[in-house]
Amino acid sequence: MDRDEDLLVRAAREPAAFEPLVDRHSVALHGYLVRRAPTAADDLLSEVWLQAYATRHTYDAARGSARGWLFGVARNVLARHWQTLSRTSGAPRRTSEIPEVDPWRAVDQRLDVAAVVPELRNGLAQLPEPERELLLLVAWEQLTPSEAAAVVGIPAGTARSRLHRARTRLRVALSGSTLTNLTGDFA
Amino acid sequence: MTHKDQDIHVLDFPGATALRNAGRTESPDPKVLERTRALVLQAIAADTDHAVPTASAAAVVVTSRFGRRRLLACAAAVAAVATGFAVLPVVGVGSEPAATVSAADLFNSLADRAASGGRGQAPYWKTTVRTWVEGDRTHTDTYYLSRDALVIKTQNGRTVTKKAPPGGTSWRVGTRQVSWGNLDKLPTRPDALRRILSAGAKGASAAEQTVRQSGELLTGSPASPRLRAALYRVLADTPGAEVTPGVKDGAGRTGARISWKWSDNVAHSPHDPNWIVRPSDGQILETMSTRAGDASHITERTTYLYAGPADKVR
Repeated sequence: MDRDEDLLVRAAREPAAFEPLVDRHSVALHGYLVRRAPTAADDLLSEVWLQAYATRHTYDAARGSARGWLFGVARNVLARHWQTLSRTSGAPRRTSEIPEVDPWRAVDQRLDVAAVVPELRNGLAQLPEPERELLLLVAWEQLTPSEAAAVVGIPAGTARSRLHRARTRLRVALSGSTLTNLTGDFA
Repeated sequence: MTHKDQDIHVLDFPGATALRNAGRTESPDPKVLERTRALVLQAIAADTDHAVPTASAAAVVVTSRFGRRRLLACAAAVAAVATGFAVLPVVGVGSEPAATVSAADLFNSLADRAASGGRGQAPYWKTTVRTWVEGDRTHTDTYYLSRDALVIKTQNGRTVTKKAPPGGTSWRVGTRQVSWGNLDKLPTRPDALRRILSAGAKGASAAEQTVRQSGELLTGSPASPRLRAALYRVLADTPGAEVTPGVKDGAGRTGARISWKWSDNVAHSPHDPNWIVRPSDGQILETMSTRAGDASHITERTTYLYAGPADKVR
């Protein structure tokens, strides 16, 4: 089976090479979107792929994996989606239709539904946003720190430092809780 | 230590497993994946001269008579609507500003989607409509329109039946009434259909009449896929439309808002019409009116929660 990176490079001159990538990564990209913009994820998925296809020639295999690049496209599409919602926020809306302009709100709702203990929710809430974003890219999207760095457009070393700080902050935040008395982890 | 080891250590804190588990999601609806795949294949097909081979793509691949340019335009319209690219005004015919490139492309894309729709021969055209008028409460009612009557199921449980006037149910098209049975006799060549729709009006009033009557046919009649496609192509060449992508209708659904702005000398209404359409299937989700000169002041909303054929009144 061809590697994602080879397909994406080849797709710049052979458009049909792009097709297998859609089958391989749509579910993961949809998961990324639904965790951050649950009501718009279905529509945004198409947008991500059309954008990725239109800009496929900008992919440079030397700068990271195809998977990381695709999530970077998804991140940009998501950001643009929120910008659009912000611009149109003057239109009348019912409370239930307030757009999700802050990814943390959707993330926190997900943690709440999953009954994640308050200490962890608070710890995540107190993380600086860049650290939290990287952490969630690793925890939820199962990206490597290098791939997560490519998604947000920072050097891999910077991403590792931020992730290290995030882990330390969470350990400190959770050290006083009863959770650390549990063996290993809590699910 | 390898990079992989480092990746594992990133999640070495109490609660990491719970955090990972909280990220689990349901698999997306297969229809969403299929639609996405079809759109990408459509874009790929636009860049190559080969037909798209898969069945799932067939529903959205435009017919060959429009050629490669149209295919590109449709893919571009889908992409533009989806990603919020800026609209580019073009020079129109006559004194009125033309539809923007994105508005025209969007309507042509909607026409292609409508043309591939199924044709139902059901006895009713059912619409479930949520209406809101400034100063009033929201109402949601279901309408069953047939050749000779209109049955309304109101939100408070009442059923009201109104008999159609002599000659049966009909729609205003230009200066004449067209019956249920004669809808199929309307021309599906856009230029011929435009002449009929705009009959009896001039200038901005002709455009307004065309938009208003097209909307009534698209949302409230059992128009055939061919007629629906023709109506959208008429609208593609109707001046005054602007597109705002990524907006929500009154039911929270995402679509593209199409706003018409004309001069103040429109005969029928002092309100500028706005539609929210869903580019993926060409459905009109909502029509609304804004006060002339103040696009942010919505005076009424009609949200189509359902519009389609029905076999019986339920």
